[in-house]
Amino acid sequence: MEAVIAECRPKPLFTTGPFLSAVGGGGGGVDRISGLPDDLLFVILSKLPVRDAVATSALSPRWKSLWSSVSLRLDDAGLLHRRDGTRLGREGVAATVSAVLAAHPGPVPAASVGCCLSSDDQGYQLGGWLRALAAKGVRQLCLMGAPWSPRAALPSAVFSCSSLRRLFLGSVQCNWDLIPDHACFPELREIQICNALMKSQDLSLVLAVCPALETVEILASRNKNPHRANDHTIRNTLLWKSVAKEVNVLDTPCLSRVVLWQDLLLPHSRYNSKVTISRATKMRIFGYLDTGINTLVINETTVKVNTNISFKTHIPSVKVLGLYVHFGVRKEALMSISFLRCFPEVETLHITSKTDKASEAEQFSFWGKVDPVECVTSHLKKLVFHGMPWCPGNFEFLKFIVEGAYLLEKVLIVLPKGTYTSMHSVITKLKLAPLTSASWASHICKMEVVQSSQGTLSYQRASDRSVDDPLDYSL
Amino acid sequence: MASGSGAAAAAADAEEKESGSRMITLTSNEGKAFVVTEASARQSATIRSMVDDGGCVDKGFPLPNVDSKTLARVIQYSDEHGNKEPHTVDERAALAKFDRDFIAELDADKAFLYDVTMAANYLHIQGLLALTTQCVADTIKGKTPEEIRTAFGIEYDLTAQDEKEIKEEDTHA
Repeated sequence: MEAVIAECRPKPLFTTGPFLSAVGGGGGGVDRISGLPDDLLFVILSKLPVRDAVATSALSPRWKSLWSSVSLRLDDAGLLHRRDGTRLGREGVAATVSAVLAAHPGPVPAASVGCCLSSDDQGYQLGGWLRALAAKGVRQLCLMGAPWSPRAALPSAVFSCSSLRRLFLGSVQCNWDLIPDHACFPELREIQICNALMKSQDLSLVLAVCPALETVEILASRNKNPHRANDHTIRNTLLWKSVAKEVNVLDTPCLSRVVLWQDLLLPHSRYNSKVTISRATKMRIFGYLDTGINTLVINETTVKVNTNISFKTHIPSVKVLGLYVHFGVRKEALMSISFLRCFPEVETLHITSKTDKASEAEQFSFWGKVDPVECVTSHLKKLVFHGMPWCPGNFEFLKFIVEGAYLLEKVLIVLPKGTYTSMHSVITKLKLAPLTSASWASHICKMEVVQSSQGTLSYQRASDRSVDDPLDYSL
Repeated sequence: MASGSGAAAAAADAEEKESGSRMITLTSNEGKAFVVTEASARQSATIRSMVDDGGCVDKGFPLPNVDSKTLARVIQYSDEHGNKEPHTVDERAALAKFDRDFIAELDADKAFLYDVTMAANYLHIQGLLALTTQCVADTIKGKTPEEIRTAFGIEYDLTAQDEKEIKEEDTHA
């Protein structure tokens, strides 16, 4: 769990550069650094963790005034150790955070508190920091409690931070019921909630006070409550290594990405989860839907194996789709076809084939009777298949696709990590022969077989809004 | 860096102009001329905007705030970053190694490091400025005020009152 949280928590505000300078240097006794103009010294100060920045304020009156006028970026991770390397302890870090916030006049555009949150003081100390940060115009705030200790309660003072653009809440206890009437985050674009305990109405209460919100991420949270993305401004929503009893995507005219990665650490902890979509007219990227645990409801119609798919259950805006399927199970294989019928214009299809269970000894003859699927015959250009194509079920699915997809340009088979120690090409070729010798509908299609370098969708990929296809984890 | 003379070079210049890789002359405050590729010169946002605004490419760009020694070093950086774009992992690693070696050399000569920082600031070469300011920041990291003063040769000019106040603020650190 800690590794999962570590993967998705924001990067530290400061990194130690690779260039370690020798003590002394070559100053030659002449103070050249003070010859640099203020704007350059500001740049240098802004690269210093708070302890070192405070140290420069003791250099001279000029440096003191520089520190007071630089925008402070406060990360308590840099306070955990004293200069001599000994640990300061939680109370010591907390006292320093209080002292720095009192001494610096602001602005404080970014603050990250991850070492000194405690559930002991009922949020008294944190409340004070939040009020100070609100007064100093904080725009980016990360609060991260220790995952193994009781969660610190989030004080209602957080609602006074009206200048926030980005908010990360990890392992803290949020009582959104306490939202004051006048509360508003008019500029908040991005909210990430990690390892949280949420009550049923929680997220909708938050969304109601964020009129400009674009991105909602629920990370490493296992709660049996609905995840709702019903907001007029949201563009991206990510549910990563998290499960909600319901995922509701309702009335979201701007929403373009819905990324779900429900793969938890323990396979037996998979919950059934209902995914409800309606009036999401711009949704372009959607996945990974799990045919084993997800029930899909589109415009109030539940998609079942035998559901007649009509225009009412069509979502033509989806161009990139991800499915998580166990093709060895007849019901899941048929469900994957039903899901595909709901998205008639999919151009890129990502399939992750489950291999954790032994295939049921079933006949796969039903594949021959499956009617053509619109997105496969007339839109599909690229198929990325994670799994072993020669396994029963997988082969029938792949054959169904390549024999029916007229516009297919590329099939990428991603073999699980460590399938072969040396990717023996002759064996692979032999095993793929039934697929390559099928009668492919597209004559321009190329097939490539690679071995996966990572077995799972990383948080970094799933949340990267600069990439066109966040579902692609084949590289 | 390259320089050309004669008809063949003129023809080559014309060809380069077509393909967008013209040569540009930068002149230091000591009057020394440095001929660099346009790609290298474009690492500098200052020169980039002057080139894009048209005009004086042929006459070259006088840089009254930069001496020859500093300019030569700056050009070493912008040649490396401007003339080849890293595509592969190996190329990126090679460029990162260049940056490491480049800054390690400057780090040993702090006075020169400041000259290069000032030039990077004046020429708006973001990558170089990030590199040099990070180097100065890393020198400060982990030091007491007294050690910073020694490292940079900063005069001790605080009044007793100032010092007392600062000591109080610094007790937690």
